[in-house]
Amino acid sequence: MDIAKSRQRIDGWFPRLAGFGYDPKSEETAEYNCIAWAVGETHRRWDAAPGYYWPPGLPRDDQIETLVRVFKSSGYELCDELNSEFASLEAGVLKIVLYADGSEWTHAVRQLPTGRWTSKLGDYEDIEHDTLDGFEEHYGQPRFLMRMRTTEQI
Amino acid sequence: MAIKEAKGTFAIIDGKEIEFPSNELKFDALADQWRADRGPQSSISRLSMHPCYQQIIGMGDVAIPFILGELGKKPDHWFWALSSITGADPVRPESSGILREMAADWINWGRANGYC
Repeated sequence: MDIAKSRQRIDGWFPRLAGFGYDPKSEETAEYNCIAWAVGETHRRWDAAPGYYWPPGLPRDDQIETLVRVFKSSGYELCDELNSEFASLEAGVLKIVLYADGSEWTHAVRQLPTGRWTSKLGDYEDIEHDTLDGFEEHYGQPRFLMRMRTTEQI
Repeated sequence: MAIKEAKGTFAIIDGKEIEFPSNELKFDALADQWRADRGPQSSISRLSMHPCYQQIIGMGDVAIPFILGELGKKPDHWFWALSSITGADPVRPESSGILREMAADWINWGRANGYC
């Protein structure tokens, strides 16, 4: 894994991200995307486009409200607010945050047991990052926080 | 009014109109530019809205053998283009989201329909 090459690419996409703290954690791969990674899968890509995996019975569109329903179908519940207190680490609770640009989803991130967040960047690498900030150039803003009580860690 | 006599086929890449001597070279140039510009987008619909990808869809049937050839070399997000051009969706439910399996299903469809 060429960390310097990854950082150069990621810093080009997200010039502010390094200031918030991040680390590349995988090789680049198109086998899975941010939604699959958020639910803990690495063998297939979740997308509403023809041929990709999408939970049965849900609309095949990119609306952020549809992505909320996708994660509800995986057991997550929508939180009332998205702020630093709600996004803090809680024992036995998995948390994900969904990003949107306008009415369309752009990205999903998952909280790790360390309190850091993990993201899959498009067809490229996974990264761990310290905050939810710094992605606005390509992903817009964090829009929804979702949580699920669990005894397992993904 | 002078009418430009087209000897080849044209594409607009990075704002410039370029003439190519063959559809295969035009496809290769459009595909290269699409790959170079894709960035960290995850959404297939956003990836597919790239002007070069849209021009490949606009090539119609003639692009299908080139797309299937690309899928044979390395699975990539050509499925939206193939579905848009052909109206087909041959990906089996058990292949959904698994790029190499999706590519194999499309290549089989191409063989069955005389494209490769």
